[in-house]
Parts: sequence; C-alpha cells; structure tokens
Amino acid sequence: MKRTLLWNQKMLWGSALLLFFILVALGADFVAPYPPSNQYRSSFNSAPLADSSRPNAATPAVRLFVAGDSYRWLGFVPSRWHLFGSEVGNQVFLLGSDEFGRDIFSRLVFGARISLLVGFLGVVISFSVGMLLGGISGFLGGWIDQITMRGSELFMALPGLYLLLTLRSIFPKQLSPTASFFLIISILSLVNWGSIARVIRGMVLSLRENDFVEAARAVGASRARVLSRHILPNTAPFLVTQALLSIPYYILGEIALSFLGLGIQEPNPSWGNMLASALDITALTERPWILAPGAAIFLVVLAFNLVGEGLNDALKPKR
Amino acid sequence: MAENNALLQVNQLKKYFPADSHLLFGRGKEFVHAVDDINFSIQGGEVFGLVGESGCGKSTTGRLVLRLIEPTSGEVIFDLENLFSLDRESLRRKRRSMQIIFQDPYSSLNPRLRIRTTLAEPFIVHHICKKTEIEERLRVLLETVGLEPDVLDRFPHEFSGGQRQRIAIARAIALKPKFIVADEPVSSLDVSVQAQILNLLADLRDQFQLTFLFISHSLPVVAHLCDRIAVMYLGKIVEEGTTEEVFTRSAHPYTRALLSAVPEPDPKPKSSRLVLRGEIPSAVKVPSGCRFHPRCPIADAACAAGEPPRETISATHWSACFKFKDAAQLAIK
Repeated sequence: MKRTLLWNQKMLWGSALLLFFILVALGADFVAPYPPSNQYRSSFNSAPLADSSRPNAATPAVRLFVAGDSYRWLGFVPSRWHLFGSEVGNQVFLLGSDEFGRDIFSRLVFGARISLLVGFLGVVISFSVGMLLGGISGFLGGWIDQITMRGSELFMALPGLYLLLTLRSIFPKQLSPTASFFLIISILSLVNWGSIARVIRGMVLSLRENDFVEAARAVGASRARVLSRHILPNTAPFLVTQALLSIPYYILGEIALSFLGLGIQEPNPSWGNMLASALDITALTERPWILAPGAAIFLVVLAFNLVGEGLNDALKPKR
Repeated sequence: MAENNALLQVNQLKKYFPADSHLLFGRGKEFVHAVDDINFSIQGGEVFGLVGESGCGKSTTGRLVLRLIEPTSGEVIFDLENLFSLDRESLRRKRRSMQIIFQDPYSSLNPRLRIRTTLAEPFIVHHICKKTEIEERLRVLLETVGLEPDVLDRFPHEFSGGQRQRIAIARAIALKPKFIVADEPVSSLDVSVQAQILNLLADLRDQFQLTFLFISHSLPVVAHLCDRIAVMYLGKIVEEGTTEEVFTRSAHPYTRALLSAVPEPDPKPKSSRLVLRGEIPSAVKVPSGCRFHPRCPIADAACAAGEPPRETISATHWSACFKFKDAAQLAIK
C-alpha cells in the first residue's frame, strides 16, 4: 500500500530519467565511442553523422559493440569495448565534432559524469556542514547560535554568482583538473550551507520540545547523543527531498563557472565549457547541434526536480 | 513534619518565563509566573499528588524537580544534594535514580526508533551491563509492565495508547530509580485503560518501593494513588494535606470548588454546586494579594491586599487562605 503511494507519476518519470543519466555517467567510457579529448584533425566542425573521410558519401557504417580505444573503466577495469563505433580508420560523430575535431557526443557523455559528481558531492558536503552547524546551533542556542546564524546570513545576503566568482578568483587560475574540480565543489558548498543550516536549526528548535527528546535527557543521554540519535534523524524526510531539489543548484553552479572559464578547464569536458563555444553567433547558426549540452542540462535538472517534487508529494501528510 | 529525612525537598522554587510583549524591541519586562515560590517535601516511599487546572504550573514543577528545565531561583534537594548545583556530568549520573513518565505516550516515544532501542538506551548511556545482557534485562522489564517480548522489534506507531504508556513506564523503571515524576500519566488514555495503568503504577510502587510526584488535574485519579496532596493555583500551592484531609476537610475555597466539580454518577442534579466565576487569570499579570481572590466566593478587601500565610490546620494540613475557617464550611455538594 505504502509502495503504491510513493510511486506517483512525477517520481516514476523523474527516477527513470535520473537512472538513465546515472548509468550513462557511470559507463561513460563504454557509452562514448572516443576519449573526450581526442582530436581528429581531419574532421573539424563536422555535422552529425557526417563521414569525415568521404565528404560526399552517405552516413558512415555504425556498428554496435565495437572494439576501439582502450580505457580503464572508472580507473580500474581495463577494456576496449564501446557501445557503438564505426569501422577502423573512420569515425562516427553522433552529434558532430567541435572546432578542435573532438566528438561532441563523447564529451557530452563524460560531461555528465562531472555534472552528476559535482551535484552529489556538493549536496553531501554542504548538507553535512549545514546539518552539523544548524543542529548544534538550534540545540545549544546562546552565542554559538548567534555566531552560526550571522555567518550563514553573510553568505545568504551576497548575490550567489558574484560570491562564486570572488571566491574562485582568490585561488590561482591554473590548477590541476582534480584540484579545480574539488575547488568548485568546495566553493559551491560554502555558498550554500547557510540556508540549509537555518532550516535545520528551525527544525531542531521545534523537535527539541518533543517529549521524547526530554525523555532521552531524563534517562541521562548526553547532549551529543540526544542530538544525533533523537533530533537529527527526525529531520531526514525533509532533508532527502530538499537535497534532491537542490542538486541542480550545484550542477548549474559548476556549469556557470566552467562556461566563464573558471571551472573545469579545457581540454577536459564539461557541459559548461562546451557551451562556451556556442557564444559565437556564426558557429551557433551554422552548427546548432553545439547546443546539445543545453538540452542535457535541461533534462538533468528536470529529472532531479521531478523526483524531489514527487517525493515531497508522497511524504506530504494526506488529508 | 519530619523534613530532614525527605527524599525530595523543594525550597522557594521559582520559574518565570520571559513573555515577549514588544513586537519590535526585544524582551519587555514581563514574565509568566509559571511557578512562584513553592515549597514541599516528599518522603521516601510516598506518593505525593500535585493537582490543579491546566496552566497552573504543575507540569513546570515536575520538570523543575528533575532539572529538565532551569529554575529562576530556589533549590531542589534530592537525596541530600541540590540538583541545581550539580555539574552536567554529576547530574547525568544522578538521573539514574530519578525518572519521568509523560502525559502523552504518542509523543514521548521517538517514532523512528524500535522499542528495543528506546528501552536499551538507559542501560547503554549509564553502562549498566554488557551489550549481551541487555536483551535479558529488557525481557524482564517488559514482563514487569505486562508486555510480551515481541514488542521489542516493533515501532511506536504499532501500539495503542495504553501499550505505549506501558513502554514509557518500562523506560522509566529500567534503572530501578528511587523517584519518578508521573506527569498526568493517564490523562490521555481511555477510561478503561486508565485504571489498568494506575494499578500498574501502584504495583510498581509496592514492588520497588518507589516514590512518586504524581501530577494530575483529576482528583479521583489522585485519590486512588496518593498519600498526600498539594493543590496548585496560578503558580502557588494553596493547600496541602493528606489525601483524607484534602478530600474530607479541605480548607481552601479553590480546593472545595475542585472537589465540587468532580462528576458523580448520580442523575439527580446537585442543589448547591460550588461554581467559580470567570476564567483562570493570566499568569503574566497575576492578581494582587491572594491570587484566587477575583474568583473566590468568600473573598473580601483583605484578600486583595495581602498574600495569605500558611494557616496550620493540623500537623500535616495547611491552607493559604485568610478565611480558611469559613472556607471549610463552604458547601460542595
């Protein structure tokens, strides 16, 4: 009975879409026919499915499950199998190639990995920090509460994008890809922890008035135990929906930074730096498919919002 | 009264809650006088009843004597130590010997924890026994309160109010405390279940020589279990005596009005019920003099002017009423 209530339409479509993106991101090396940074110098700016070696010929032969460039899946499992490709010495560009001769589809697929990882890690970090600080703040009150809340207001009062840019500019522009990836996540979490801390604080303030919290204190449970065993777990249903609904914020944040050249750096793929090439109006009119990352962004954000809202509806008290 | 060997002694206990009166400019100078200078003591093995209307401060008193909330002033001597001078760790250890049962068993059990986790918590936080022994202890504990061992794997929402209250009682007696505050333990239960829970509490008192502070708004419930009774009105105790004295020879008009309000299974209308005028006044702006005077049927000018002292009626019975002799004559039936 409970199961059917949980699976409403929004949840169903949202989670199907989300599952698709997660699978693509996980299996990026397999789904993408080529490494994302490989340049094919014979085919700059080629159209989708155009045959680079024979400009006037029809669509190149596309085969499923071909052996191509070797890779290590997630850095461990060695393989050279790809979902699709074409015969040796020839490339198939499902969504065309960019101005450096790289396969847009492959870059899109690897970009999904970056975007989803930023979303999940960002949410985990800022929710952990927000939960800890908001929990302690609401539970203990007093000067700790004052300091935490003024701190959160500081971050909430400044406009998000400018804050992101300012924080990013503190650090050197040239960083290793891993370092800049984690820097982006840290900056996004730093900007967003405040609002979560405030909501958690409010929930703690109301939860701590519950008799079961007082009963735990009466039994002799320490403050840390009361907070971690009795108060914070009761914020879980809210946190899950809130986390799902705020993942797009992190994804869009990374995209904005990368678009401006401050996030993921070329030649590493990100939906943000891919869209930067669409800034050129001639390129955009001649090759509209370079907007493909935009469609991907739309679908990913939609997926998280559908699941989040669906879950919210399912958990809402019924009348 | 032999107050020197009391298990619990409450001296000049006060709790004022700040009442935010100003919309913009923080706290005004006003306070809710929830508990205003009360004194009583409870002997070991005794059941002490505290009765009064909702909002009179009896639940606040219950939380104060366990130091679940901090007082404005005063002391609570429990087992020869002032609870309010203990540091956090000593207080935590002291909690082994004092417990509380709440009114609403629907909110006193954490909805996300299995009964096993809730009941094991006292043993874990005080390091009573090895993890492996807890299961056996819980089984014995459940048997004591009349529940089957299979409740351990279930969640609170699977139980009825009466069963939940038994679980809450099991948690309270888990560490074999000396003293339990029972804060309206049966008020939210069906009448049929009320009697069962009251009998269980009486059995536990006999079995473990428990001392109770029994808080209730219902006089019949209090009469069933208590040795002595204190009546509270607007943050003050107005009368105190043995159960028999309070029920048969009460000498405060408020107590008599409460007794008169007890429903009786007699279809004939009462000729002379003592009905109070008006509402219980605000605890922020308390009336001058005797706090009961605006509603009192026998009040005069003196009552509004000064605070009535404790008028001794017997060694165990006193009333805070200038006109306690007249009050004792008020017809209640």
